[in-house]
Amino acid sequence: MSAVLEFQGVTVAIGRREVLSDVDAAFAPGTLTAVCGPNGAGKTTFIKAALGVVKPKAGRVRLFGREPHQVAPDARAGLAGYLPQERRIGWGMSALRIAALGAITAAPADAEARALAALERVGLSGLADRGVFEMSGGERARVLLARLLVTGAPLLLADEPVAGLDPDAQLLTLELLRAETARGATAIVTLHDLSLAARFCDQVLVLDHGRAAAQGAPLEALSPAVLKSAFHLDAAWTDTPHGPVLSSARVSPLD
Amino acid sequence: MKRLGLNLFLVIALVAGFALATTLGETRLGLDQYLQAFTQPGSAPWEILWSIRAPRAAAAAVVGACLGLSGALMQGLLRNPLADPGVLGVSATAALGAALTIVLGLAVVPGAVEASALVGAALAGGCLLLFAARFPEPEALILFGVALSSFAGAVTALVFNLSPSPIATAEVLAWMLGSVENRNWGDVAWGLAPLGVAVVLAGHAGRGLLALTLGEDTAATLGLPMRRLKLAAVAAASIATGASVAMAGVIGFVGLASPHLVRAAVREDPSRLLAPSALAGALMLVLADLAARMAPTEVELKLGVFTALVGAPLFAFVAWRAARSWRS
Repeated sequence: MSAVLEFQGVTVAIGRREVLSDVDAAFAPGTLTAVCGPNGAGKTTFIKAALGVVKPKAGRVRLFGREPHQVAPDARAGLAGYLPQERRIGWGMSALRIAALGAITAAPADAEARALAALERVGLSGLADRGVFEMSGGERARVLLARLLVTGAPLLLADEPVAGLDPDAQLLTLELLRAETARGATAIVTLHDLSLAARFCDQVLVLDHGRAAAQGAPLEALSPAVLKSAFHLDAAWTDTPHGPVLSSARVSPLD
Repeated sequence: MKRLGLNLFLVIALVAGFALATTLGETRLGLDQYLQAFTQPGSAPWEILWSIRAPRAAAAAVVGACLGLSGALMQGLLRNPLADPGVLGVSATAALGAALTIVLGLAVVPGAVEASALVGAALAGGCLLLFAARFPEPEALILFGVALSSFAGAVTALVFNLSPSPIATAEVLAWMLGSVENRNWGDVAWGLAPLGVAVVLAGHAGRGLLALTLGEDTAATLGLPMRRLKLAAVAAASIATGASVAMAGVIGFVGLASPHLVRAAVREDPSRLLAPSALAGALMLVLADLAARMAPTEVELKLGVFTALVGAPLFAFVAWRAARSWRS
């Protein structure tokens, strides 16, 4: 089966700094992948390169077989939806209006219907008319997740979608993205919680200093050796009824 | 329907404000004179109402609409409630263009001052666009706008300094204080043309402003031609600001205040804010000009001075509110 998204020797530089170096990766349809790595490993740049927001210095990104920055904006929006790490919303519009921005090019009535359905999925149907500035940070994050779901795109790219959320909201977010893969969509998320990555994802891509350190099934990609070299952790996986859980300690603790 | 109701309300208020500004003035008219003004073309009351007060009020409305539209565009574009043509240096650069034309003695050429103000605004808009393409963050653009405004102000001061004629200097100064005094229907028609162009461009840019609510990166992935829409927004704001400066000199704070007056009524939607903000700007300036005319001062207050006196505390209030919301 051909890959939805493919990185072939991709190098991206921001200014003089190389943020991604010679990255190869491929993502099959209907899968949920976590992109993991320490802070500054290049996860956000990876997502932006996939969208064509940043252009590679070398190598090629293939989004459904085409280079993303060469695809017209309307066609690209039909291929990939994006949830950024930054959750700042410019104006205090209603949750419904913000969620409907996921289908900004659709007819207003259609966009609104899709937004209402998405708000219901994230558990905010009762707050559809509330201004987002009157909501908590967690509620706002769920509105933005609903906005991503409204796109209905076959590829969903979410940059740290669970950061700052309570445990219930973290699980809901990943369950919803998992459900999107069940309808055939491909989802790629950046995650810092490695246990969640192992529990929910089909595969994990580990980035370390801009390089792909490992890609594969979660427990293979996040092997103790990789956890030590990329994350500087002495770590081990434990099986639990809810999936694998990582127990870890820093390789070089303060004392 | 709610939006239509808001716009209708503002249109009615504007018509009422225009009627008030046409009816009231320094020269007090009796009932029979008002009757003459409506029934005897060419009579003195007719001249006062339809050749002096009405075109002046109409000019104030056009200038206010330009500023209100420009402010809403810039605030939407930058996702910042403090953005306005003055803050971003467009007004100051347009004023510099006009000041240069006056001091160089080119003001005798019909339309030269207006054209140079428009060119100045377009240059500022172009600089802002170039800067925004390299540094899209709203905060960076505001800082650049402040620098641009300071630079244009400094060059204007240099123009004053090196001006060979005190008469030209006085003329520039009077013009820069902002006024719609002695405007005729020809001036109003001249201002309506760029306003029309700006309205069309702004209508085109509306969805782009809405998309920018989610930030530059997300907006770029929503399927809209963002580069074109942002260009349309900056062009509309520059044309509208240039037209306002060309018609009335520098009038501050209307562009800042108008969007705030109507923002809550459109649930903060930047694409739905454009028309009401333009109407609110028109209403504000018609009433401000009436207040400046009617103020009990020996010399008539300049409109720009009046709006600055009222607007500066308002700016401080908006800044305080914005700072509070950024902390939450």
